[in-house]
Amino acid sequence: MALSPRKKTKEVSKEPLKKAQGNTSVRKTAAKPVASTLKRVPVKRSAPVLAKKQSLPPVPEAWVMPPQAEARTYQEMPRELPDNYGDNQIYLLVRDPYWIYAYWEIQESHQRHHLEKLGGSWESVVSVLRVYDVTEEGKTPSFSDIVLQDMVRCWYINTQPNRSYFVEIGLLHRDGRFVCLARSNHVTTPRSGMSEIIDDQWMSIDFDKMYALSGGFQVGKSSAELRKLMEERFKNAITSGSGAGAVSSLSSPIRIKQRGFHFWLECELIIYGGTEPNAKVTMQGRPVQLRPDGTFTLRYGLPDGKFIFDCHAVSSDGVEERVITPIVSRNTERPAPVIKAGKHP
Amino acid sequence: MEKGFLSIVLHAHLPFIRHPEHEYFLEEAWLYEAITETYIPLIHMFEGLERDCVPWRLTMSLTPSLMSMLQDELLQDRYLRHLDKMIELSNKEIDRTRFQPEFHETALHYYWEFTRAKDTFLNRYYRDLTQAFRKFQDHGHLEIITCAATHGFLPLISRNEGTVRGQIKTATELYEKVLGRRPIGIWLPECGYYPGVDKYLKEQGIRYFLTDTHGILHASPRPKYGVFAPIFCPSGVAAFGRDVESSKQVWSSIEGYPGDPDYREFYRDIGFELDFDYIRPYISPDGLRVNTGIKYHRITGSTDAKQPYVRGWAMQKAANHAANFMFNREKQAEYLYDFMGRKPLIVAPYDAELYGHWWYEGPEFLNFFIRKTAFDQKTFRLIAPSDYFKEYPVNQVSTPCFSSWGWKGYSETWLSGANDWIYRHLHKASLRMSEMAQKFRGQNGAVGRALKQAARELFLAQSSDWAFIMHTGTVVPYAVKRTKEHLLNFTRIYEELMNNRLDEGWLKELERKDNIFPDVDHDVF
Repeated sequence: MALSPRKKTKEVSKEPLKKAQGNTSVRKTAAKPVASTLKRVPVKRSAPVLAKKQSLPPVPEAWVMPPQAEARTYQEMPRELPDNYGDNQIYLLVRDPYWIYAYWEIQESHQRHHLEKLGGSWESVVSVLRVYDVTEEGKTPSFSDIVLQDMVRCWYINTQPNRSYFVEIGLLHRDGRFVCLARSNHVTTPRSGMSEIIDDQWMSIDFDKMYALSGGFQVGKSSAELRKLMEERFKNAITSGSGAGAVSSLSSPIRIKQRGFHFWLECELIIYGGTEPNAKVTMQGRPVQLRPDGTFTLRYGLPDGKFIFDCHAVSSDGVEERVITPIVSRNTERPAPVIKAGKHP
Repeated sequence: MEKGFLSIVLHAHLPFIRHPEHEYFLEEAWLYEAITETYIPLIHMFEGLERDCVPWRLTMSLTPSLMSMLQDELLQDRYLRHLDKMIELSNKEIDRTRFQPEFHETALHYYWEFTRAKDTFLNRYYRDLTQAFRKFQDHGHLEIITCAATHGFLPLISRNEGTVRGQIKTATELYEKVLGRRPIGIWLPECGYYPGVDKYLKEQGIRYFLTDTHGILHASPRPKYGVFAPIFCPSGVAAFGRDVESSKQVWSSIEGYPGDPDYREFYRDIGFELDFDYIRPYISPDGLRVNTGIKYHRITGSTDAKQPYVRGWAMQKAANHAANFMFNREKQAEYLYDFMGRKPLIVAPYDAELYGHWWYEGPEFLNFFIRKTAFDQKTFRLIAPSDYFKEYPVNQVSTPCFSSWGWKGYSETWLSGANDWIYRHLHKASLRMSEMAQKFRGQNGAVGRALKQAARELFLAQSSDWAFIMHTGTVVPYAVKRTKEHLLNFTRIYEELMNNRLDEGWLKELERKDNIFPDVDHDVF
């Protein structure tokens, strides 16, 4: 099994997000005793083919946006980033006390070259990540191997808090010989609790109580909580419709929404007219802005009730006044919703 | 004499979004909304406090990307254009709601707020709001701290020294240019701390940074006073930890103040609700409905039948909440003082945009709180973190723990299946940046300009905002596009420089477009 991207298979599920399943499955891989699996691991010998473009992470289903918006912000799709920089390297990043992330790039030629040392046969080797725990300085580090699946280019490695690690990626022969293709940087995972080290100069009467008073048992919870909520609601707002679409004014306090079906209706009244461009028009005593041709338009939200629109026009010389007073009433009926028999799920 | 201290820290940040190539760009509105709803209301509050001679002390981070946008002429012009439209719309709304008294007063309120914002922006600070904040700092009331240049999440981009040093140095240089002094403190992006990053802060003369609670609590050796006193890293830079109790009262989605039924409902915006033909000139030109900032309803409760917003009730609630917040801090300070035998420092950091943009009454809450704190109690005093050292110059030496204020407290938000693909590219680019900078060191002219632009593109790609957006799943294509675009621009500069065939026309175009940090120093890499 080779490490360079020869063909793109579906991305291996490498994300330990869902604790329940992720924890067990990934950890299993990590802890798997290599010797016993060796015989059973089928090694592929496909000839190298050109790497396909690295596919983007899938867009979560919840994310929906009107197509025109996408087209607008997304007009000129830039060229793709290179799939391969021609390096032979592996690098570690710390995610949290229990997971570190490794990504790597190994060239085909580099791999072949090292394979020669093990006899040159793909069938007798597997690709592994050898994870070294180097927490105790001066001691020979212990290690465990993770057998790599097909075409992975990165891996989340299960760790312990406050320990130091580095990783080698390499080929492991079924007779136990190992050649290293690349070695990573060293990382230390964060502590997940109070330090065991105490400074005599700064002794406390009760460290545990101080810890509790400082909110030590709620780590990582509160600060992100509202942000997360806001983001979720923000998402709704952007997708439009779902969260924000419906108006319910005072006159219509009840909205029926059991079946995810909704219907709303609002009334606005448009009053328009015209006079001499230099005349003065008022509506309910408030001046009305005229267009250059003397026409005007007024627009009002119209709740239920009776409304008197008292509109005056006075000629520019102040001699003549005209009054027009439309009286409008709105009365809304809302019969109970009808659910058709037989079609109800 | 007081028994404790409280530091309120507002983190003001937006990613650098500026698209001269488009007449209208949806995401630029994030800046306009934040100016109208958060930055200007805060400035109004500060002005009111000074006018009334209220003693006050507050800390704010203004990130370099935000400062750059606030000083950008194109964005200033576009903000004014946006504001004029809002004034026009709110004026129409006064008429439209004539026969709906339950909305009419709120319509008047918006018209007043928008016109006042315009006056502040245009006539009093001549379009440059950074100078408003500078004034309050110079008066000794506001402590402004800096942040990494483009808000890069440092624990994940620290593959080489030059990157972190560049993020910090570029930030402090911009700070000095805009605010006329060196920054004394820094907000590490997303509060992302890893042991050793303090070294780069020290190089720039920064004396303190903020971390999340467990950054201090899990420090080693054990911190004697928990999060209620800073610790000194072995480098001598101090770390202040977030207090959980005070932030929970504001942040929590359940217990938090912003969810009160009388406060304004964020998700009922007339941009989504009014007749299409009427609202069309005020939404996206392609007809996509967007928020306008005019909202007429209050949160009401967990119901879809939202009731009209009553400004007076909301103000009353803000005053009550301020009183409650003060009472709780008094109790907290008293209790801690007795337990610790030393005055506790309670650090309460928030996203600035929470105040005003998300929590519409937030600035009024702060205003009430600061005034009450000044006149109605003597138990605690508002200070900036740096003031603490005047009272207690000697503090414990301890190394903070790797941490962030993101979901679960570490790096997961910025390193998950949704965004982990970016790091191999970001790291490669930062290594290449160092390679280039060393190869062409001391060169001016076109090569020097290309190096500067490469640094800008690298910084812009490193914004934690892109990874954050990919993780949360909103506007993902934009975040992916920005990451790729800056990386591709960077790569092209790299390849052109290394092959000695620089396309100066293209470079000039890029300089005009991604114009952040005009004086960036590429020798830092």
